[in-house]
Amino acid sequence: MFDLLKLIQMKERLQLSLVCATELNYSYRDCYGCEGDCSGSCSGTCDDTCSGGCEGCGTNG
Amino acid sequence: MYCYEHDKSCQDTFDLEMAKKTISAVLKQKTEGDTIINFHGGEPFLSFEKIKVLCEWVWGQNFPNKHLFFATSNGTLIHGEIQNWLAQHKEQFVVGLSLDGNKKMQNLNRTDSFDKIDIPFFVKTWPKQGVKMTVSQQTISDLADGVIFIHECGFVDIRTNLAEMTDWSDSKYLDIYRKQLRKLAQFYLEHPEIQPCSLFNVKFAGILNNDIRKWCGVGTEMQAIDIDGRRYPCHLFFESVCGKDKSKKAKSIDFRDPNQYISQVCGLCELLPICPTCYGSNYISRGKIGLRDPDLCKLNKIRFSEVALYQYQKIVNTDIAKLSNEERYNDLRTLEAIEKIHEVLDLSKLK
Repeated sequence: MFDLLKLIQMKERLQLSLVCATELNYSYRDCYGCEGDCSGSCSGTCDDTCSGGCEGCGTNG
Repeated sequence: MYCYEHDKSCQDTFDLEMAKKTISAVLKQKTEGDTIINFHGGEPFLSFEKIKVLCEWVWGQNFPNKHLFFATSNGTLIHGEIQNWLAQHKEQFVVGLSLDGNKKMQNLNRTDSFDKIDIPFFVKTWPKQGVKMTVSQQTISDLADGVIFIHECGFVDIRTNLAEMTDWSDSKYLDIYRKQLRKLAQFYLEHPEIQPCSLFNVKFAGILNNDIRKWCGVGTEMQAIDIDGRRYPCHLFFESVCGKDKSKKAKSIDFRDPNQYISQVCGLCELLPICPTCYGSNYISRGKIGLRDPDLCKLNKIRFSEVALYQYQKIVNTDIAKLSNEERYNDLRTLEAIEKIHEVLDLSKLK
């Protein structure tokens, strides 16, 4: 079950374990999905690595 | 013919010459991204002969714009000649199957069609393609079993959503939905090698930046063309779907303007950046693209709390040493977001 203290402790452990992005020569990014390029059927072919776009489409088919 | 279509009298399909002209105009222009040409039914493969002629004509034209044909299908007609043709062109033509769960669920939602689908054909031909699983009031109590069944069929990507434009007002669905999500979460925690269905793919980190996103390409990246050649923001705005008056009025909507697609109430909600919606359904049911279904809102909140709990459990039990740096960052952002909204979702009260 949910334990806020445990969450905070894990957060700190993750924070400490992160290697600086510049050392790895890439930028961190928050990835939310395909930003609306899915086609109309909403089971389209949007295949971004962080897929998730088109959710909510009301085409029940 | 779709359940959401307002006018079910039209039996026509697209005109081949008009389709050639329209597609030609699009594909002649070289664009940065690829173009997806989506055949949308009813059941598109009722018009297989026309689709075949059109696609083969397009492939013979060597258009500069990269493109892919796509169709969502109930699968019932995809056998014999159609299967052979699709297998031959599987790199150029992708089919997404609508499969609403196990046999009982599929037959409830889609009139005894389960035995007419060659499921292994879809798994084998397009192994990465998502399956569209619509959950109705009739099938929600079997949601977890249905998703697990589709995993067992061999599909990797399951895109599950609650049916839009239907009545979810009965409060019994809240409890049923929570129990089903809890059961699925347990399944995924016991099977970490399985990619969870889309219900569990909530990007909580979006809350940290308060990103306002539009959930699909309606009216911007996407254009839907009716069989008479008229263009619409998406197929839900066709006259046959939302009626003549509403269809006409939709022309004045600016889909780039967030004020149009976010209501005042939703604008105040902390969960807005992760809360999906269908603008077409909103428009048909409530007259504005930003006016969401308040009953789905309650169900979405249940979903976010169960998925937050699942993601929290997964992350706190992870061995950090086995994670890449990017995975660590993503997990950190997820926990930061869950910390921010845990009170809104009443996570501490969940048993």
